[in-house]
Amino acid sequence: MKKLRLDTKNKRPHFFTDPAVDAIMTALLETMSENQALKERILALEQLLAEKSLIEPGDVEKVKLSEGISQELAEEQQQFLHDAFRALNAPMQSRSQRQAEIDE
Amino acid sequence: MPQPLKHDLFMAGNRRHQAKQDFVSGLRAFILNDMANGMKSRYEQGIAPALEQHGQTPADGPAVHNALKDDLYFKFYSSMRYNTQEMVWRSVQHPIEENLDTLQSQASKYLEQEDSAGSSLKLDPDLKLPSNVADIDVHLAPGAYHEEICADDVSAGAVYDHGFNVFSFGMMGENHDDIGHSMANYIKVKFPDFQPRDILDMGCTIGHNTCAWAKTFPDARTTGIDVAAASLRYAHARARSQDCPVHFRQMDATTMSFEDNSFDVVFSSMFLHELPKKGILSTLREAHRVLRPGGILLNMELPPNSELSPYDSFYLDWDAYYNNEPYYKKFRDQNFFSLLSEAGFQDEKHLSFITPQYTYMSHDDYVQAVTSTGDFDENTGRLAEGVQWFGFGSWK
Repeated sequence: MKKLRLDTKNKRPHFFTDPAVDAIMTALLETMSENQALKERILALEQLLAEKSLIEPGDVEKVKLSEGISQELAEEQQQFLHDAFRALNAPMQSRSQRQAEIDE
Repeated sequence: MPQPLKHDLFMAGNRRHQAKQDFVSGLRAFILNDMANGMKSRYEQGIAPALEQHGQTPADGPAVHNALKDDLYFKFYSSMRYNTQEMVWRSVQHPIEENLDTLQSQASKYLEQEDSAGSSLKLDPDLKLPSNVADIDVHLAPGAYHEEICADDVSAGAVYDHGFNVFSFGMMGENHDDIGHSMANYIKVKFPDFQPRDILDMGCTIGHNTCAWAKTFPDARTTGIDVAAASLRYAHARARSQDCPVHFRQMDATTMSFEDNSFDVVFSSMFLHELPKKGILSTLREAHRVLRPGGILLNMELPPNSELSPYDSFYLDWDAYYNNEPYYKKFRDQNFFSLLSEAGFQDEKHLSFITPQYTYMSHDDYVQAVTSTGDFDENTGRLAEGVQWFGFGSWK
């Protein structure tokens, strides 16, 4: 199979002080997308099982999610994103501040 | 969420590909709506007031950027947006790779067919790609618009088309043609006596907006030019599959081979900001040369920084720093009317306007909307809920 080039020519910027955090963000977002794809597939399987009580090879590829389930999935994604990035809205303190409070 | 494109070159991919594309699209919508609003609130309610207390109110986009760059929210927003931009392309590259033979076969069917709809494709194998295209993976897209991996390759066009579908989360029209329809219909509504015979779209890539002009003015001959052969092959097949008569030519807008006074409309969309200043001026001069007297040059663009608040300037300029668009900010720092005048257009014939999205409302509602003068706001050119498009140009 002919291959498209997947990586860009440019150097990637790092936004966090420690570039390791940027690398973790990349892994995290890729994992989230895989998770969503798996979840979507499971929902399709559940729907199919409910409809036929039997699965044959290729059936999963053909089933179209109901509007209700698609909507549910979209809403769950938004909720998941809010959950996953809840740290953004939480008060934070440095490790040394925390240690000082405990030691006080 | 991305919807299936309505032409024969659309490659849906399998269930997993589609689910991942849906995720990336939804993630982008979350970042550009919820997170963008959160970052702005954080700036306006916390960071800016604190700086004002010390007499250090950020006066322009770079100052806002400096004020935000160490903020945790900005770091997450930027990291997520950058990663998601990469994921946009990766989410469509895999299915296109897997379906490359089918895609090439589908495209070649149109490339080989007789030209019944009045379309044509003419490539120039001797054309040297300008460095702003050849050396940059613009928009973080590996291979951008031009890289080829097989004979008569259309994959770069397909990656752009399918990636744009994920990128725009359903906000650019059913075949990514909303900008073209919005601009063409603005001209049609505002200048009903203007009947163009020849229309040119510069930097047309996959011809998504070129087709909108051809559909809006069906009696005109519409031509699209670009430097990227892989995009033009795809554009031609894509237009043919929609019975849209467009003539595609591989040509550099800075040195066009058209005769003087050849067109009534010269259009570009999101094109000038991809060029260095020298290229912008050459393009505008060429546009003036190929326009007939009484014709119009019309550029859909991001608004100039002079019209935006410091925060909104910073927000749009994010792409210049982190989305491989090195000329984007430098272009938007310019006075657009001065550029037009420098290129030979007369000051009193310049125009600029804001238009809502044509394909998301009825024609009557659109007519009503554009007859009132729109103002710049935070949604001008910003791909998010409530987006409106900015256009500027000049009559010759």
